[in-house]
Amino acid sequence: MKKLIFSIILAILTLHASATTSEPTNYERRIERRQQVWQKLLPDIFVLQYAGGGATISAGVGWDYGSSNQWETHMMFGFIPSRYKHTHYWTFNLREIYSPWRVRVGTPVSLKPLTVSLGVNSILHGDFWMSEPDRYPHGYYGFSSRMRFHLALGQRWTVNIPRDKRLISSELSIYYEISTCDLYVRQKIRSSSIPLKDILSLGLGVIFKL
Amino acid sequence: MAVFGNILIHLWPIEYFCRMNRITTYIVIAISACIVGACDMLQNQPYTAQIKGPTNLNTTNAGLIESAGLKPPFKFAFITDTQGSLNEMKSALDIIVGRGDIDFIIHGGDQTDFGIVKEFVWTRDMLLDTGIPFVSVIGNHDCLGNGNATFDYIYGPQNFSFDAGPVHIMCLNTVALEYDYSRPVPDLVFIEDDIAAANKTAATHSIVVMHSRPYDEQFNNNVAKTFNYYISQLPGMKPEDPRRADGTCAMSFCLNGHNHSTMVKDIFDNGILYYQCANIAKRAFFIFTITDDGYEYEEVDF
Repeated sequence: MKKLIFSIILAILTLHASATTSEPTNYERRIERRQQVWQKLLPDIFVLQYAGGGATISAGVGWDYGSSNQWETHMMFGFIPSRYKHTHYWTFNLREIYSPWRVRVGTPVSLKPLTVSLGVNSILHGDFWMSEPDRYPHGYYGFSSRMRFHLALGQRWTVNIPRDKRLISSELSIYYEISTCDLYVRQKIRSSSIPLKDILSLGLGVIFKL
Repeated sequence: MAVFGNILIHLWPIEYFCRMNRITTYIVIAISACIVGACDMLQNQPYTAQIKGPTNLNTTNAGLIESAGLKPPFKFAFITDTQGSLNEMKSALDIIVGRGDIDFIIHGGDQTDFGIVKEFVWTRDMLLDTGIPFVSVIGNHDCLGNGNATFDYIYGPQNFSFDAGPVHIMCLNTVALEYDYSRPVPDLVFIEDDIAAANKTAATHSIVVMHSRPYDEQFNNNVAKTFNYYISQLPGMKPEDPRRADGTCAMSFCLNGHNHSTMVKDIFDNGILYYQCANIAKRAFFIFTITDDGYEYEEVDF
């Protein structure tokens, strides 16, 4: 019994001691560092896009970085509903956006007059392959029907939401982008009679920033 | 009330929009108008882009050709492998239209390089502009991705036949490798039924159109001889049907593309000639004239 009381007192004392120490232990520092690293990986922007050469509707998360947040990485999943004789498709989209300028338009509104985006888009379906299936002789087609490279130029308007009116985000942006993809560019180069409009897709989107 | 307040908070950007100076408002309105004007550019993936305009063309155009009541002599043009060569295809079609004596056009497949929707639409629209009825067989490139389904939507059946006057024209999907031999390509059941039907009509000539011919890497060569056995039952291809002095069928022949070179060959040494046309990038196509007792073949280099 004495032994038990002694160990309880010891336990309380050690707890108390650790709670009052000002210097963090190595363990605490390690945990803190770990949390900081994971915190940086938490996405701080949310994207919703309609059309734009990828999917009918795409939604995803993103990260912004750089001295004035001029770089952004977006990771989105998209959905294309079934139409004609095509089935419905899910897509994956990863893109890097660079916006060299940011111009103040009004007090809360700013404009990015140019956004340049380079990305890859993939239809997640067995009919589309990354590299040719084994049944073909080597290098038979020489392209991937699953991996599309997209280049897009656009503009973005951002409204900085005043502190007292924030609900889910600190900034709300709307944007448009005009994009094209590798296969379109290749066909346009080979056949000049293709109208430029046919190889361009317009996309409209909203971005929430935490 | 709290819910109403939340809605109001969401609407506040509109309030700012109303407060913007006049020039900014005009700019925003102008850009919005441009976006609305470019609404048909709101496209998704190249494999699922929008398809406007006529569809099911093989069925409707075969019907048009049949109902035209063609009587020999009449002419048709055969172009093939037009993928990525729309400029050359335009030149060829200009020649065909300019001649004014072509009754219909047959496309030998490979309208596309990658099977994407727009490639099909560009080719179709260029053919539609001629005002001449046309049909197409499917090529191996047309099957890529979901191209097979796109072809089905725009052209309809992949195996079909029609009669142009006394000529029975059978159009077949022969690109078996695309399906890893998992589908009956060539469809021998279709061929058998169609031959039985053709032999009950007054057809005296037959033309079999395919993208890839027997002994190509795309063809299901396990049934190459069976295929030859079947088609040699067609009107004008039977052993007892009229022959030329060199032993080739006087009334009937096969047409194919795929190999990007022009070649005329009696593959099975039985008098059935395979006329293989080069891809349109090589600036060549065929014109056939059907006469009462035979046919004439002309290669146009432009």
